[in-house]
Amino acid sequence: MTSITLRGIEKTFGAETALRSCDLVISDREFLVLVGPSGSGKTTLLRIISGLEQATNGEIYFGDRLVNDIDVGDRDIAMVFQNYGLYPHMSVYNNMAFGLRRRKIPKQDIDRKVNEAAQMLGIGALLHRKPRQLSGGQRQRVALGRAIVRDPAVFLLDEPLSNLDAHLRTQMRSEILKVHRTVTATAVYVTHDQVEALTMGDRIAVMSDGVIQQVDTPEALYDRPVNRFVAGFIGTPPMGFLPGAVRRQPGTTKVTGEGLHVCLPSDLAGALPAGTSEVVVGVRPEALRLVADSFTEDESESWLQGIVDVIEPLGSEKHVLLTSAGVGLVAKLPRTSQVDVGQKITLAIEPTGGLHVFDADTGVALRPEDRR
Amino acid sequence: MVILVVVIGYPIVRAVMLSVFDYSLITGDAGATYVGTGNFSKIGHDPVFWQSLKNTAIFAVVSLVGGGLGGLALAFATENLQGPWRFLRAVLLTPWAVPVIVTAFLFQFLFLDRGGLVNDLLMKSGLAHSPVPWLGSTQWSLFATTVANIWQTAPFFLLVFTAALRSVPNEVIEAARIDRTGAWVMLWKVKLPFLAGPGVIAAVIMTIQNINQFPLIWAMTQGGPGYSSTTLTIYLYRLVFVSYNLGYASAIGVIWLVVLMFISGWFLRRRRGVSR
Amino acid sequence: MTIRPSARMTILRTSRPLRRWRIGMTAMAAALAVASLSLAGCGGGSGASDGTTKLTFASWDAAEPATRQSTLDLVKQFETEHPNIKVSISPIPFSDIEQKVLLQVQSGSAPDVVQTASNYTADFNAAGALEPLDTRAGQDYLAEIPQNVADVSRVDGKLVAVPWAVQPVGFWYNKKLMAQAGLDPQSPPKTIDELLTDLKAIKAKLPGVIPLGVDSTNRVFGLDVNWSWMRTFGAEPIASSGAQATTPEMANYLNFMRTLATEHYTEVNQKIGYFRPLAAQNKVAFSWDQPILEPTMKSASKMDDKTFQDTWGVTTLPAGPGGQKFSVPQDHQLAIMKSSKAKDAAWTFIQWMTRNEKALNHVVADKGALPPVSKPSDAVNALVEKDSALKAFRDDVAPTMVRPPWGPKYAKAYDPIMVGVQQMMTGNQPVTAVADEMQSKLQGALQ
Ligand SMILES: Nc1ncnc2c1ncn2[C@@H]1O[C@H](COP(=O)(O)OP(=O)(O)OP(=O)(O)O)[C@@H](O)[C@H]1O
Ligand SMILES: [Mg+2]
Repeated sequence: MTSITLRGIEKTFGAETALRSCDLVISDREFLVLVGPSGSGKTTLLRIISGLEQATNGEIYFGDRLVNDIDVGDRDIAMVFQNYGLYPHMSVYNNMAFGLRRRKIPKQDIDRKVNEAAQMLGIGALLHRKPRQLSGGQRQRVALGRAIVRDPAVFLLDEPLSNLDAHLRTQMRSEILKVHRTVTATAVYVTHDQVEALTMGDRIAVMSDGVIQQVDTPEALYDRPVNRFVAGFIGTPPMGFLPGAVRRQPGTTKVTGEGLHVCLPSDLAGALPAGTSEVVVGVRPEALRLVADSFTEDESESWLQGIVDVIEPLGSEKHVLLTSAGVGLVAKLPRTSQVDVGQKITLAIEPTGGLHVFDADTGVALRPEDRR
Repeated sequence: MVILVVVIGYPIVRAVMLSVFDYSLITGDAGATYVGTGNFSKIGHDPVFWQSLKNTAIFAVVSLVGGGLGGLALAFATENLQGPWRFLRAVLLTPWAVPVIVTAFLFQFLFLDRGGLVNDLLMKSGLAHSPVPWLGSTQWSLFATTVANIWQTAPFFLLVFTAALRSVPNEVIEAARIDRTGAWVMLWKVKLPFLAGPGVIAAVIMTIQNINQFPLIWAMTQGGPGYSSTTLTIYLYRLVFVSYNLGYASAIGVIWLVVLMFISGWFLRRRRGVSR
Repeated sequence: MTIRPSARMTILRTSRPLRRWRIGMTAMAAALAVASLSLAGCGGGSGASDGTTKLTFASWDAAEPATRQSTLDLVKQFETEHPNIKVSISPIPFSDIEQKVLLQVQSGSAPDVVQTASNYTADFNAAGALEPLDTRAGQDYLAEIPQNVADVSRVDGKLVAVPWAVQPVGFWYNKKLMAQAGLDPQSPPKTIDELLTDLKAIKAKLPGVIPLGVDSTNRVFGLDVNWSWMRTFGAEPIASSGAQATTPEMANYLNFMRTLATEHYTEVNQKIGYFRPLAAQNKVAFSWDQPILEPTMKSASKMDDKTFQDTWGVTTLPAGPGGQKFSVPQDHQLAIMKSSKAKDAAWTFIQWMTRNEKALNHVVADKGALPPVSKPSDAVNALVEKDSALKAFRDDVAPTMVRPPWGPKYAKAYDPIMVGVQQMMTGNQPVTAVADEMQSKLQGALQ
């Protein structure tokens, strides 16, 4: 029963601030993914949870036990490193058994645990090899094995797959999830790959600039990003952002700009604070549909116009990169759509789900559920 | 390449050729007589040679072990020095930079019968009633020169091991910390294996240097009293530069060369074993 | 002068066994090549077309800081007086000069004149490198040299070098320490028995003082200084008949040395240089040392002449059972190499160096030694007279000088003998065992 609670965690390295007031609650046996761009503080946060690094400020609880002053070795955690961190001079078997021996586990139990883990990870035949005689994927399995034989309460993984090729990565992803399901550990998984994050996480914490921006399920992050950063970070191709002016008319609220005409659904319109005149409209690529220019004549429709820059055919569909009012954005269109580079096109915006409105200055999402 | 072979090979070939002659520098080429394996069979029943060989082995091995362990201990002790304390490591390295002759002089004074620091300490602490004649007795002279040599060579190992410790990947150490590795196991089981490779190279270098150590012993004891601290270099020095007995000296030199080649070969084989 | 192929070989083969080849053969061979070339450059004097003759002079005086400048000045003075002779000095440290010159001899690039001493002279002669000088010197020159001084420079009756600076080893005694130990400072020990009594008194009264400074290192020099002691006991471990280490006389000598060590009358395996600074601090009561001790002590302790003469006296070595007294000469000599092409000029040079007043003045004033002539000029004589220690060396010690059996055999015999002496002094094997071992090793060495 190990939930993890972080309260007001701050970390500075000299003048550099790596983390600022991070609050996070991870429930028991949850698989939480930390995602964010490089330098956002993911590793630092993970290391603070592990105890390899001390927080400058704030509290860490495992369950209801304050663990700030508990040594790494006593926190009952296991960690998988990006570069594996295997003991190069020990055999695979000894790499896995080492931590168990340090904990004075009886020899037969060690043997059993190691063999079980090796079986589960398919490295049973490699137990006598040294790490340098293994492939990258095999090494990563050994590192995983070393973590799971310990049967830890908390399982920490720092970009464990980033040294593997795409195919192997996909395969290992599911293996890690399988492992997580069989062990009864709370897992924190660091990645900067949002596909990994979305496919693996029970919940995802998005970090930027040492701040946890949002913690939510993959769906919620996608559907209800709290700010422009999260909205732009989650989802491929990314959301497009177009500035516009708010025009309140009787019965409808519109956001318009050069080549932009959006009729806000009533819930979004209602979420606009009074007096707001400038906003940024966020549009998911899949919310766009190619229409004839005449579409613009209907005042009740939402649309945008732009010049096609690049067309990326992807087999089943195509990504069209266009510029609208000086801003670049992407539309995901069916493969049969007739567009040419340089062409001016009109795209209809599906108002439900794919449309978001952000404060022009703060980037905060203006959402109905945030309205008080 | 040809030049290199000639330059390296020629003196060795000359030594082998000379070793079958009774050759003295005083009489030169004219006085040289061919003695076949005579010089080599003379070595067989030359007690001084055998004692020198034994002394050389003791001096080299004890120096190696002492210097190696000392350097290792210092490397571990100074591993985590922070800020201005790092200066301490530089201080510890100085004996390596001290000219051998100065080391010899220093230890001659430390080991003096009268007024030497070592004897003063022994007497004051009551460990000895009368001064120990460190350099003037057959029991202690080899020990005293060995201690001086350890002092001189330990910093080399400190340097090598410090560099090797820095190359231990951080993640391996952190993995070990997570595995609840105590300080002792961390040293022996996690860090030490990383030091094995550089350690073997350093050991080869130092073994050869120890075997060839001349000025230190010569300045401290001239190989005496008796032959108690006479190593092969000292013996050869006397044969070559005092007695001018070049034929016999060359024969010893040839044997020595073979021995050294075996030692280096053995070490390097070990090293390949380590890195495998 | 060209280098014969064998010349280069000689150099390489000599150096090979000793040089530590880890340094790298390349560096060594390069250094040797350079050395052999530069040696070739300074070899053998020759008459130049302008009528001047060039001489090369290998000298350790010119290499040692204490004597360097005065030696250069003296040679310059010679050149001024002999404008048709140019002397090029090749400074080589004392410890290297024998080996360097022997190598030069083998490679045909020897200097014309060498400074030499003791066993070096015998070795050079054995190498056939020295020009016999009896004829060149002539009756008059020889007559000026005291007989036993001239004998030091003779091998098998032939004069192979000329005496330049006479330096016997003498018995120094510290009058102040003797007085403190309750001994009569005016009567140093005259026999070995008296010596032992005095040593005992000094040890008892003055525990911080080394009663006797004597070199017991395993070196040729070590055997030299001990040779006098052996002779005092009637022992002669190397004689013309071969090894003689098992005589009762040798046993007496060895037992005496053991007493010196076990009673802590001296310190074992120490060079004479170890005792000198201690002597300057009045921490050595007696010392078996050369005249050079005086300038050494004076420069170490800043003693003035008066204090020095009040403190230190010099006399002969105490006599043994035979009643005879012995000293060993450490004279500096000058010799002409057989290979020299300018022997006349070379003779002019060494004749001047051993007779000219300025040169003898240099011997006494700068080298602290005795001049090689019975009746030096008044000025030189006055220098000796005003120095009581030097005077005692001349009047008492020098007449007791006896040349040890120097030569290549001596260079092989010193090691077994001195090792035996050290074994006596540091171990507790019976004297017969030590002597037997010494005898068998000596026989091997003298073969
Ligand atoms: N030991 C350290 N000393 C100083 N600054 C550090 C240290 N460790 C991290 N930082 C800084 O803290 C910030 C966060 O680093 P962190 O390693 O946590 O980023 P990350 O999100 O893991 O990035 P990446 O995806 O590149 O691994 C960075 O600006 C980094 O430069
Ligand atoms: Mg990171």
